Amino acid sequence: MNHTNNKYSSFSGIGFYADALRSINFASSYPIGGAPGGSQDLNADVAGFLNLNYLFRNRYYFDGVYQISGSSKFGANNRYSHFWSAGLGWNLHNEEFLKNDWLDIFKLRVSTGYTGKVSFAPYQALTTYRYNIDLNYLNGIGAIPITIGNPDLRWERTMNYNAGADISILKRRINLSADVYLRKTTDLVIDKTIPPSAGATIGKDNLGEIENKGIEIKLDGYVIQGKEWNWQLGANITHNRNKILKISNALKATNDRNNALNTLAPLPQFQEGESTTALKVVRSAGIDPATGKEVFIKLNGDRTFVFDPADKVVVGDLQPKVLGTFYSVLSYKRFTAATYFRFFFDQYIYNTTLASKVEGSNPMFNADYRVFDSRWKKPGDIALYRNIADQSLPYQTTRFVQKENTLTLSRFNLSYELGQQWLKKIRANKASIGVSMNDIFRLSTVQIERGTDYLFSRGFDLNLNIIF
Amino acid sequence: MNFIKNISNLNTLLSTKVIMILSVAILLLSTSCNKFLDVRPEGELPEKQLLTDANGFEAALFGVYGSMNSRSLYGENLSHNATEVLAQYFVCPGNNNAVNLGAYNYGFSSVESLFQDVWSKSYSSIAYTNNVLKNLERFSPQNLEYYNIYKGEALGLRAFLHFDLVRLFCENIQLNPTASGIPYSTDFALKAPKFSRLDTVYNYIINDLLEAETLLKDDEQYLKFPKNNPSTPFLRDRETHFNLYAMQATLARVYLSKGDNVNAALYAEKVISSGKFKLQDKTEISNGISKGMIAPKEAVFGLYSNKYFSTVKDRFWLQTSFYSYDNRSNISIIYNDIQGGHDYRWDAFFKLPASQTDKLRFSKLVDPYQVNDQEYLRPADRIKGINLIRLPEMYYIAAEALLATNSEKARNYFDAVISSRGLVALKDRVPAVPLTVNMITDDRYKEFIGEGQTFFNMKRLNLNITDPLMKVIPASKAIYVVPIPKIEFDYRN
Repeated sequence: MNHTNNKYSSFSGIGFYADALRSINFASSYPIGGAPGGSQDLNADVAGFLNLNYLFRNRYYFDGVYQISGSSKFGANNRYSHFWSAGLGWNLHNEEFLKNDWLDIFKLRVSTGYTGKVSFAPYQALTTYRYNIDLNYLNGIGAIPITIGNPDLRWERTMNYNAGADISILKRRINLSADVYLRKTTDLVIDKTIPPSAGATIGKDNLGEIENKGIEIKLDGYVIQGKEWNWQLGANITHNRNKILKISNALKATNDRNNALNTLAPLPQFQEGESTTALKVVRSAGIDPATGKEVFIKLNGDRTFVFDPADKVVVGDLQPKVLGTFYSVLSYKRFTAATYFRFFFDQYIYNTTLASKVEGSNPMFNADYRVFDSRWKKPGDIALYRNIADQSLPYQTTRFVQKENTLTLSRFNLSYELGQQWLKKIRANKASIGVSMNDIFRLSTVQIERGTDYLFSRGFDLNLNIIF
Repeated sequence: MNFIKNISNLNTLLSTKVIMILSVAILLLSTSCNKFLDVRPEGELPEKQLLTDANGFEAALFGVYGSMNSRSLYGENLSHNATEVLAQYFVCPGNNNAVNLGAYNYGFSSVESLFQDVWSKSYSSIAYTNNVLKNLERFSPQNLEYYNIYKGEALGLRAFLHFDLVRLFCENIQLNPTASGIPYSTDFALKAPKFSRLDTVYNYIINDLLEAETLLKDDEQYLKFPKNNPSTPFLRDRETHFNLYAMQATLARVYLSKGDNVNAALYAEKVISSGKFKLQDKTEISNGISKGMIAPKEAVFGLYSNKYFSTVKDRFWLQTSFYSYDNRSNISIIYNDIQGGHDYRWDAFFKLPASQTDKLRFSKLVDPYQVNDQEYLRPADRIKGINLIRLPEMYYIAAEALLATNSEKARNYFDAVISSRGLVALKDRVPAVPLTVNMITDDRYKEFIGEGQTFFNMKRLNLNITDPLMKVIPASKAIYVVPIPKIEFDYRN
């Protein structure tokens, strides 16, 4: 059971007579024409579930979960939804034919089931009137529907299929766990555009379908396992691909709008059969040496100087093909040194640094050296970037699409755990002191500025953890 | 392992225990939890909770009036902005929106989005009336005291809003009755209504209005002249609601538009002879008692608005470059036609330049009590707002509809208006002058400046339009029919 109630109110005061009188009660008046503001977020949900586990001869097991959930966001008709999941497992390590000294765990498992989600505001299902001070009408105050509710709105449901294996060998010194999954989300709640003569232009409906497929592998092991020295190595690798199976007309409208805009980086395009993170741009044949203008390749292969957003094709995915971490934890007595690396491969990006700082920039001001070195200046130049005199925002083409493979040393931590005599003195159960460093180095195939909002930064911190 | 010995045991245990637990869970959820789940933020009420009593229905109707007040509709576009630029009253060189509106360039992006706004917001307001009507179906006059009033107002507003959409987005019915019309919306759902033929839309409008007429019968008591308000808040200031006479006046408008002169005259005369409204006299006109106000004595229907002043002030009172509108250059010639004597509307509607650098300002819609910061001087019966139907229009309609059959009666109606504006009645001129439709049109042009009626009147009569540079723009579909916004067709399936 869950009940959320967030309230927010705001009002402002003006005229504070002295710096010391900063509290709101020292304000001398309200601003002219000002009015208090505020909002409230209130909803509730309940769930009941039933769990069943059964183990047969330590070799086969079955899990079953049935859940009934209700949310205040629905009308009374579709308020509750039913979810279930079931799993089967086989403990191979308990079978006679596999009994041996080095195998500790060998488990195969499959599971399937439904999970659900509510991803909309209550008034989108149930027509709700809201009073509004702007609807003040001489002898009374007005209320209008926030929007036209869709009484048929249902829970978003995801069907999961999962298969996996767990293996541990040599007294659990080496552990491997691997999973493959397929998740199909149906009844995805998305916007639907309707003709305005209905009285609203956007409604919510269960229209979308998305499919996620992926693999997850976890591997870890102790290279050294002793009284004083311990060294653990481990890695996680994941691969995920999603595909839109069905979308609504509102998203198609968003596509058209996004497509027509020439923004710095391409805006998302949602197409059935493609990924939600597909990168779509027009293919480029490079810079024409005679004119310094860019040559675009149309869908049918023709070359042209005229940019048409309709010629965009999928050139890659903004999500990496493989993504993972690996780590090493080395400890000697009470000292522990932990190192974490992050990596990803085959991620396509649209390099906005090239588009804005090299092509879109003015060489008269402080600019990237490539503005001078690599841009077209006179007929005959074989250049990577267009005419130096052209300072307009370049069109979205494959020239700025790059494949990124990156490795970062994301964190290094050295810590020392305090001994019993110290713990007693400070009456703690556990205490440790350490230093960490973040983002120590980064190797990447792409050079891009992250701007001043979200810098690549190296951090250094000192930490002390005490558990009483 | 010891929990269950074998499979068959498992089955029996499952069937009893599971079903018990399940039924307990479901029972719990469906009874106590429904209450737990019935929560809404303050100020928000599901329709089934709001529309259960008089307060709820009144709030929902006030909501409709309030939404009609928005700048997309009568708070700006359909009162003094879009329609009046189309009628060539105002100019604003350098303001792309106004320039393209004045050139009937409906494809220009800001003009297109303006009319898209008019279209969408009108249908939103219509949908609100439909939801009131839909929820009224659960009630009757026996369990809801003012059931008839609520229903009558909602039906009337629905017809009124559709009619203005027809006047903007459809062809002139007298030229092409079977032209395509607009969707007539009678539902509140996430589904667009079907398009109907123009003559069918007119029938829907007339049917809704006729049904409203019987429902609003009690307005004969609620509306009094001189004004005397009942104590029930919803029945006060009936001219700010779609009352019985607003309904009759709208019918007169609709019939005249359709070319049905008999019914147009009948309904216009019903409003005139009701005695609930009177033409202002010339002193009242020259004192400007209607400035920025729902016209005392004359307003048959107007919208209360406390925001209208700020919209109008920027547009007409101030002289902001590229925003404030100026009057067409020959405006003074239009009002000061010496033949008929002095027209008091000239003094009342305009403010003469105070200095060399000043320009003539259109002040008809500017509330003097607010602009001069003299709110304390405001007489009690002056309601800030926007006039949507005023009595003089009924005189014009009656005069025009009767012109062919009873020219003397027609001229008397017309004379009543012009003499109340300070002009010499046609009958009293030497020699007496016969009334023509052109005279009515010319006087309408002067009377309704800033009220969103003139363009529709020109369209009805299919008149050529003279722009501020005195260039004659011939009447055509291209200028008189605003294209229905594309977005309406993009997602129809």
